[in-house]
Amino acid sequence: MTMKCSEVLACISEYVDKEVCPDSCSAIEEHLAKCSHCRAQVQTITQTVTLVRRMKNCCAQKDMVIRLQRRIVRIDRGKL
Amino acid sequence: MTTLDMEAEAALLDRAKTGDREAFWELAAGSVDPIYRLALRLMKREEDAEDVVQESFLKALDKIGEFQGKSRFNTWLHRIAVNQGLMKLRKRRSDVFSMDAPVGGGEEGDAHFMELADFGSSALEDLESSEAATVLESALEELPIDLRTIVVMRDVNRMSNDEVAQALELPLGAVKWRLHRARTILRDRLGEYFAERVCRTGETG
Repeated sequence: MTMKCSEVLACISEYVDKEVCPDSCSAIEEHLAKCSHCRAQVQTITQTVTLVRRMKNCCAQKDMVIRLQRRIVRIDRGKL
Repeated sequence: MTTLDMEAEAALLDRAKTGDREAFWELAAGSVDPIYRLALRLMKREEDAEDVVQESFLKALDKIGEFQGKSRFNTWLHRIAVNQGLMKLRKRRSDVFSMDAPVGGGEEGDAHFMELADFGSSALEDLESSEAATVLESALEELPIDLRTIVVMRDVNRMSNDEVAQALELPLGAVKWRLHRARTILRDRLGEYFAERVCRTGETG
């Protein structure tokens, strides 16, 4: 099965996330082997996802978590 | 943060539904950081994010009897937090307006026609640089709120597409499409940065 660029581009995110079925995956890879434009799309989306996943993630402040825990464990249901 | 398995979650849920607050906290504690990250990306202000977190968890505690366990507890909390956040943003109408404005330059739809250069092998190491991290931060911040929410749930909080769809009550296809669109916009912003930085044009992989 030959895929068009538009069909490949439509499922790039799923391909990058390795969530396409094996048949689609083979068809996409067959297309990528021949199409430098789609290859660049896949590469740059892959890099983008990697960069987002490597971003420094903030965590909730400890005192905020303690305040929340106290409210949850102690308050009366009627006061919610 | 520990991730509870399904069985442990179900057992804690049963106890929490009978009013056991300790069990509720055990169930919920692992979601505090992800919900805070989501709230901060939605609200863009720490104090508002903290309010959203507090309100979301208290609401979950109040409504625990209505939670049917069709999704993971963490997914349900995300749904509550998104609703709480949006409600708060509606009160800050001017901010909602600016957040819904088009992304800078309005060129995000033209990705297919751009000549794409690979960011280069140094890109990942470059994120360590504060400059690249700032570009990504601001690109994420400028995403329309619906797309930003999905990126945070999916790529920051590492939820599955199915979980995101459950949390946002969207069809799976809509989640996938929005995620793709969000990543494309981020990619284009990063691409501009790396292209400028490397002074390289028109080179495709």
